Amino acid sequence: MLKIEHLTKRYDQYKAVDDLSLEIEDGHIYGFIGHNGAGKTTTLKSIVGILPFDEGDIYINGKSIKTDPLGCKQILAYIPDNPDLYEYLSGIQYLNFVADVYGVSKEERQERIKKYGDMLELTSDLAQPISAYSHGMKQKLAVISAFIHEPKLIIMDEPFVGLDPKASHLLKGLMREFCDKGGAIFFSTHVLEVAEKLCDRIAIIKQGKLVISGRTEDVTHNESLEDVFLELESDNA
Amino acid sequence: MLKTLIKIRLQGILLRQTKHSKKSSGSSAGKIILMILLFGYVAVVFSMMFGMLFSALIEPLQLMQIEWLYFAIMGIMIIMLCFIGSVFIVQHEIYEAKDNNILLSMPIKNRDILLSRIFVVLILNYVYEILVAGPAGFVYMTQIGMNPMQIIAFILVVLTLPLFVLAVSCLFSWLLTHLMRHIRMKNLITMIMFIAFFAVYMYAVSSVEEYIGLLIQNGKSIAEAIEQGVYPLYHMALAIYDADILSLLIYLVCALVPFAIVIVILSKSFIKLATAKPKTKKIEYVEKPMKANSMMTALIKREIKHFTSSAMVMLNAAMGIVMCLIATGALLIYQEDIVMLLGMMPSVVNEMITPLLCIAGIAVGSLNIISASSISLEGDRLWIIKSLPIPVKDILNSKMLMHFLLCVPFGMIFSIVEIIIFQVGPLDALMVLLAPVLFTLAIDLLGLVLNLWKPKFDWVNETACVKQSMPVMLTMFISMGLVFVLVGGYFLMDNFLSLNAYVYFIFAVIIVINVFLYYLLMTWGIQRFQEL
Repeated sequence: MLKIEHLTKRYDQYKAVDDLSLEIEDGHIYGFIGHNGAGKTTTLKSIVGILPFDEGDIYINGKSIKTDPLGCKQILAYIPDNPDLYEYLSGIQYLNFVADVYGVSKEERQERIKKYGDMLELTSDLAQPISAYSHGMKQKLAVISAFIHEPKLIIMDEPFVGLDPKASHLLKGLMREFCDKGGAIFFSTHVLEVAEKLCDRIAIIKQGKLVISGRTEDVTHNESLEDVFLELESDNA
Repeated sequence: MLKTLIKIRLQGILLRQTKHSKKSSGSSAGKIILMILLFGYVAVVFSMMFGMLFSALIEPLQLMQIEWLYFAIMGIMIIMLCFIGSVFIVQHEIYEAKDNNILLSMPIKNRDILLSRIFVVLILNYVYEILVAGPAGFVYMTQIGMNPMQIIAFILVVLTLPLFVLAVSCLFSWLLTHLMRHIRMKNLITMIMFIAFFAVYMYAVSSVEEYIGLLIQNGKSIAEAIEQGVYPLYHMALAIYDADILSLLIYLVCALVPFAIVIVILSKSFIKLATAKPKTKKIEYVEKPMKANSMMTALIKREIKHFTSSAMVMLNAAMGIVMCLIATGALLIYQEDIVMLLGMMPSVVNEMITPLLCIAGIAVGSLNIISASSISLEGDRLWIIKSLPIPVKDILNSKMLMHFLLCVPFGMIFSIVEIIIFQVGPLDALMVLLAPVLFTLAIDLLGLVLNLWKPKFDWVNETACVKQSMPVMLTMFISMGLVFVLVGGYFLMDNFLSLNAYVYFIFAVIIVINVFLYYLLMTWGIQRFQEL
């Protein structure tokens, strides 16, 4: 589903992502872990076509984000770390805008908005302007908008930040359900317990370079992910 | 603490003025030069305007032996200009600043936070004040002269008068903030108020000659009215004119005490107002059958929703639409007078009417700079359109169309009214109709290209983005300058081009410019957007 080949992104002389290669298969939840400034958000933004990169390539379902960005974006969805949404629109107007862009039919959007809105308990607030939403409500809206066109790949940057425990639990269930139906999720998180329980595979990035990646149990080797992460952080520090 | 807060505020303002965006580092010499040129231009225009006004006043007032009224008039003008210029900014600066919450959580006195914010508005007021006080002082000094005591009194008045204005602006904005918390249609109310202020200002500017006449005719009675009715102003004027210490003290008490009272009142209610959320009634979502739009319709609707979500953005970026409406109304109201006036100049009617009507349409529309901030206004939400499968050309076209669709109908209405009133022939009517369309498109495309060149995403509020960014200023000055170039160009070319031929030539040039700018937008513009 997602193939990252030798991705390198520089900010002036500084290499934010250095020769990163990774492959994410259908049906997998892939956790992306690293310290602050390790290059996680830069990688995620490069995958979704927000950030141009210097070297390497990214393939989504066999299509290159460099040569066919629209084809790639059509099948993916992105939830950023800070859901800055259009505050001048209401929740429902925002969802309709996203559905219009993806060409989702009237019937399908109606059904999906109801399904995910009810699930995340946001339906009754959809007529409110987004400016009146709390951080968690905006995050829920971003989640609904990500699912509205039934993508094949979802990229999430710290998706649990701002969500209440119930919404967080629901989102985890939603992520599992999505991947069990053949979708793929690549997400960054600092909550290692969540990553350990939820992810099929894990990648750890340090100073722009991939340190380790693979099946969660292979990465942890009967240790906790926290111990593994801290160990890797202290190595070569 | 107050010093630190003021330092941070000033640093913020200077950085906002000299940095391109968060992606670029260092300050731009080009931008600083442009800012200096801009302020220089405004200073020269205002100084000349007020200088001429004060020159016309000084002699008659001297003859009537009410010279002190000269300084009272100066005071009134300073108060008016500072009040109109700062009243809406006070609200944004004090109660809607993004960092209110973080500062309030720190061990800082409310009064210090308030004073640091007020200081920024005070600087702005000094800038406005100097545009009036500078020419007034210069004219008095060169024509009559001042002794050292008078100069000291003048300087003290200049330093303290904005404090009084600030007290009034703060009080007004305090009332406005209280009122707005209970009103749902904030945008509409703000727009009506702004337009009302603007209309009063325009009326006052257009009636200056009439006022001078009235002042000269009724100077003594006006002086008596000020002496008896506006006591502080009288003493302010007397303090400068007579270098009267007692008058100076009375004036200083009148200027400083209201300021101190307002600061005390505002400090006490600052937390409540700065942290209050607008009282909005929760709207329950009721499921209705959905409508689907094409991508382009969705994009244009989004652009228009965004633009119309802020009264200050609308008023700053689409002043041309307001001017179009005012000009259309004025044409309809004064049509008989205008037709009669033109009837007295048959040569003008025969030869110049079509070019004049075209220029009028272009001039009123030159104040529309909507597209010049449309990229910057995406701000932190740029990720949405960049991560969605939208072709960049559609994003840029939707921004261009939004400007075009909002401005052209008003330009066309103005042109149609012009055509009906002046009864021009079919070909001329077509020219009058085409002029605002072609010119609007040129400014629309230019603004968009300039905004792509120098976008500004690190704005504090949308008003600042529309008011203070380089693409906006450049587009405004180029569009206004183009009007002068079009008129001036004729006088340079009238030896080998007839007036009508010149108009056709200009139309051809604008079409070429439009084609070039659109080509630039669809090639370099698309690439540039992808890099943002």
